[in-house]
Amino acid sequence: MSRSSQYLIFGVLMLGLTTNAELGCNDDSLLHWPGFLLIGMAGFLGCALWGRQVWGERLPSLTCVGSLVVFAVWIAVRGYFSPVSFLARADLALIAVAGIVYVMTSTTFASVGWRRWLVGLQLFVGFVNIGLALYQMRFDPHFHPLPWVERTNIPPSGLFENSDHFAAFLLFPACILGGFLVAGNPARRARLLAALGLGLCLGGLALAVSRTGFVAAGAGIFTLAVFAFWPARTKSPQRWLGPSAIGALGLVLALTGGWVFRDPGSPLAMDIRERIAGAAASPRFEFWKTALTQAELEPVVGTGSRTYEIYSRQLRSDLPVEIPDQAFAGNESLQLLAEYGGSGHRTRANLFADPSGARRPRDPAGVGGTKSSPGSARELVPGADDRRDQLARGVDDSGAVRIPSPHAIGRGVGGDFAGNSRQSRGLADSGPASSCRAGPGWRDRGRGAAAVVRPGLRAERLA
Amino acid sequence: MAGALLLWFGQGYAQSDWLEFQSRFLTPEAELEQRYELLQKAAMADPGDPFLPIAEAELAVEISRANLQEAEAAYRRSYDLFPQNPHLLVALGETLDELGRSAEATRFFEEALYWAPSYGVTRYAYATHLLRTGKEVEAVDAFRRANEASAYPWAAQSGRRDD
Repeated sequence: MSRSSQYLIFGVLMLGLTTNAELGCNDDSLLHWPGFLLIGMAGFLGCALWGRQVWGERLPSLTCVGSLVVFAVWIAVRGYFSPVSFLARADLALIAVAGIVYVMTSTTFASVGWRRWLVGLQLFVGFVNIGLALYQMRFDPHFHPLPWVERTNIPPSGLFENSDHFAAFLLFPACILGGFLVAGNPARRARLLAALGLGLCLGGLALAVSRTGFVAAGAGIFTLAVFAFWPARTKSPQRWLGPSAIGALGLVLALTGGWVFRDPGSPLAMDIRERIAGAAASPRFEFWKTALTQAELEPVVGTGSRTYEIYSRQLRSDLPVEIPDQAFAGNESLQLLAEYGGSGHRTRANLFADPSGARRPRDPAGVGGTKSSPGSARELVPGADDRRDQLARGVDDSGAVRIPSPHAIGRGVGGDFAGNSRQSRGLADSGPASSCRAGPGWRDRGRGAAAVVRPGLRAERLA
Repeated sequence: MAGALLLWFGQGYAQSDWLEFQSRFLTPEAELEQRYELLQKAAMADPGDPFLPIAEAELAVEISRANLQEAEAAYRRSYDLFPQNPHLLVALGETLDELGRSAEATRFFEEALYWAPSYGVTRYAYATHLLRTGKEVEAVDAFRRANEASAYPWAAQSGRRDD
């Protein structure tokens, strides 16, 4: 295949992801369907230009492709029989987009060079967002480069309208860089740059003042620490040093917490108690409860694509008065259970639990986790490469914030940027390192700009 | 195949998205006629979108109160596509009320209450409808329930709760 055609298709794919706001930008300020169209064009062109060549060289395993196809077919069938076809449309489009991004990043764009582009692009967009957030903080809190976007959210949020989304996005580059530092083997200069970048991302996270972002960052840092010190690959007694250090740190934190609460009247204790009470009163728990009640209506097949929007209005109970229409449960698993039932949940589980993974030998170089086949369906999730990564990815289900697995990304990208050829080979074997959110979380997107036009909305805004 | 499917189905949707985007963001707010025209084109490009007719209806009424018939037709198109939308049901009911067809409107207010029973906005609209139809005793009771609504107290936000 010619290099120029590769560049062309990569450009169209990235343009599509940017246009439909998938690549580090605001949800409703851009166009979804033109973006989908561009992604579709990239997939179609890719297949037409060099499909046979690519599939001949790097055919993903039947189990992996099969689990994706089963999931896609179930989404399509349930969507077809859903009560509102317009709402189902977005899920159908997004599963097609996920399939295209998955196949392309695990075949054509799976090489070290393309991975460098993908990750580099993600980091670049992250830094652009942070720069913009700094400008918003220092000069103009309402500034947004797109003139039609009205920024009403006061905490800086870069290209995003919502600072929580900004924080969630920053976790991608932060985890990539963290994984690079913790699990990679980079040169000193690259390590320094990564540390600076990580500091910048964490600084951006602090700017966002997002509780969800802080919680997710804490979970991500803990996961990184576990991966960094997990005693899986050595039999030396010293292997327990790392976990012991983590345990000791946890003990110190617990004791510090106890000391803080020793005096219940201290300002710090009161502040922490207020924050905990605030978390307990979060409407998210009500969103989840509503999803569970909805799931009871049709436990096997679900109530239909995107019907949470319908049933959340009908079944909501104790939500605060100011919470308006809720289209998302804030928990991918629960929403999937409500809308696609237990069968939908089971078909999605296939994406994470690839039975062939258990039979694969460990990567002898020890650089890519398990030596998965190129294009494992599990790798719809960026870098999900072995059981531990699945565990890490599970953090996603705690809320709207998604954390890419840092382990495989760190090892792969670390090796890549360090120019370590052995690691680069491991990277090439470990599937896509795309940070594009083609995995769970994809359903958050693609509702279309039209979806925000509702009767009453204008009046509500005027009010 | 996924790419081909997206291309096949996505053309009309993308065209509609773009036209709606032009209407919402790229056309001056005061240019109501032009925005209305763009919305109509967008709805023609994607007849399956239930939100475009709603925007069309709102704009039609904004252009002139005399366009209530057009607004009703647009709301009914949306109703065929997404009958579970309580905001649409309230808007359709209110339009029918204004057209003097209150008996017909009752059904839509009741459906709105079914799909969003805890919403202040639906309860308040139903109470107003009852008042319009001369059922004052029921209306008082309905206003009281609207006041106690646990969600979306649109009436309260617009200050009407105090009226």
